[in-house]
Amino acid sequence: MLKVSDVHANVEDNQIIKGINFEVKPGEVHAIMGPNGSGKSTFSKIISGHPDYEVTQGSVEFEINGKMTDIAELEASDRAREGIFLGFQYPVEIPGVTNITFMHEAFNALCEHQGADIMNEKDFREYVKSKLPILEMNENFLDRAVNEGFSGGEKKKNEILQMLLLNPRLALLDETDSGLDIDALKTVAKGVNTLRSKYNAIVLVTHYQRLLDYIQPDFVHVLYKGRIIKSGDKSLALELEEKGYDWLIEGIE
Amino acid sequence: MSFLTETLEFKEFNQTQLKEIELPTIKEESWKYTNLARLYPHAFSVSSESKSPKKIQGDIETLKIYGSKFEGEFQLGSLVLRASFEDEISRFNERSHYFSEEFLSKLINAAPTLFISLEQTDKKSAPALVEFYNAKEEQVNIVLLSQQITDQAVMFKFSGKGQYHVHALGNIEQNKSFEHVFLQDMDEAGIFFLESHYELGRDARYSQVVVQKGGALTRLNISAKLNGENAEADMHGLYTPKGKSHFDVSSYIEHAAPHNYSRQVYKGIIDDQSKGIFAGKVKVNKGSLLIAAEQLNKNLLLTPKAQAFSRPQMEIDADDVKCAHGSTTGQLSEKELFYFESRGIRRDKARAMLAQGFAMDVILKTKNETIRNLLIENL
Repeated sequence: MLKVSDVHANVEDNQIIKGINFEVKPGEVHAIMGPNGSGKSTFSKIISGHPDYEVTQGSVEFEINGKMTDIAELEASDRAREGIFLGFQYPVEIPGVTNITFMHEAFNALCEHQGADIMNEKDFREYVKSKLPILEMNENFLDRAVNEGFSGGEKKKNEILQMLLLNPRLALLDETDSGLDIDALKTVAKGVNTLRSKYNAIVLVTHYQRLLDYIQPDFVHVLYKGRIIKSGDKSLALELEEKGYDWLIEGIE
Repeated sequence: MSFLTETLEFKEFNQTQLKEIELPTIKEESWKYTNLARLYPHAFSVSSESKSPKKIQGDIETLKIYGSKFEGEFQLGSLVLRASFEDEISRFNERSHYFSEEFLSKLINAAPTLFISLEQTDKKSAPALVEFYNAKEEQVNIVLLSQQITDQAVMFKFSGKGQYHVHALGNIEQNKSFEHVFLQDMDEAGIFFLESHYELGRDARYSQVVVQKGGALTRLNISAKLNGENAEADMHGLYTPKGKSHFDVSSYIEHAAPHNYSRQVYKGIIDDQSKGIFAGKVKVNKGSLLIAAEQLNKNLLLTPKAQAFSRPQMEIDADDVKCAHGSTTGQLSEKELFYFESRGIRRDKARAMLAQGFAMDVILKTKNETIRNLLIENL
């Protein structure tokens, strides 16, 4: 459903991504790992359509209505409507907008785009409430301003809650594990695993292996200096945990 | 000298007097950003409205007043509005220390003025809406005097055309509570002046939210004086100028006794080529120990040509006080916009939601829920 071919990308004229080839099929879970500054976060932002990142070469294709389609011209909101979800490393605080209003607006935008009926406020609240236990979240989170005053763990749970509500075909989760204690990590992983099905794909961008103890990936890729330098199955993650990244880096430099 | 003593006689509209009025110039500190000579038309005509006020039943008891046509007495829930007599105003005036702009006093003096006394009959409080509507390009002068109020929330809405000169005054006595919402929702050429002054006794509470939605020129001179211990004044505002419109507020809050509290949040959402100006002073008199005062002005500029000027100020002559003031001006954040977009929400919708979110904490300062909902409906 996602095909990234020889993508090069710039941020403010600095080339961060230097030729990535990457393919995701429905039902797969991929982990993208790599040391700090390797371009992991940039990669997920390119796919979700962040306006600050300019693809200078190569293509990103996504399956739309059964056809692989170049999405270069699609804005972030269009990509989201087609079923691409970005879980933020640093979820943004939105003062004055309640969580439920934000999620309701997003949900109805997707419904509208997909030709489904929009949901009224009351039904939507019930729908959200049905998802809260998965993430061990309290209903009062819905009436607070989006992410405002949330702890690190609460923010990440809130991202996963949004993901479950929007039910994306492709979920890109950027460092969803960072800053979580072990209990929160398990809860977040449980939420992510709830999305797993033969129709959905998940791409986990992570620095550490520990998230992968709870969300088993089918493929692991190592990104370094804007390129994928190694791909493998989940045993690669364990090897990285044991040996770090240096042995791979030494091999290419 | 106060404007009220000058306005005791109802006068016929006097063109000569009007023409002699000297407008303040931008050389005066408090008019630095508002060039009245350019913004303010010199031709006035006095309200010729003949339609009588009308009561409207709804979620909230409403009285609609047309132009400056008002006689007799109307009851709205627990609130009574009465066409007032001059000596009442004068008695009030002797006790207060109200300062008014000279040119506004003269304007009021030169044209008939509607004096309304607001009183509360019932102990049980029910909120009320008083809506002023001006159908013509004319001048409406209103003095609203609040007295014998125990606990009353009122929203005043000003809509239509022309000009309003509103003077809202009152003493809030021991343990009494007023809540006033002023909503300016005039057409795009509308001119609106509001001067308000309230004095608070011991344990008294005054809560004011002023919302500017329409009009070409809005000037607020608002003040509160805390004369008693444990008094609380909330003086908040929201302004949303658009096109080439101009909003200017000059606020003065004086702590004249120990152990009292004032809070002020003014927020501006400034669009197109419009301007928003906030000048607010909090004065803590000598001996006003252990008071707490907060003052904050925040502006959101929606376009590169929108302008904000902000001058929060504190003058503190007492020890052991807790005072904070601040000001910020900025644009919508790209980070926030992208967060919305990544969830499928279009940029325009995201901007509208962010602007509304920015405004919301001012709206939420309204304490009476019925009035708060009414205000949200009106925005």
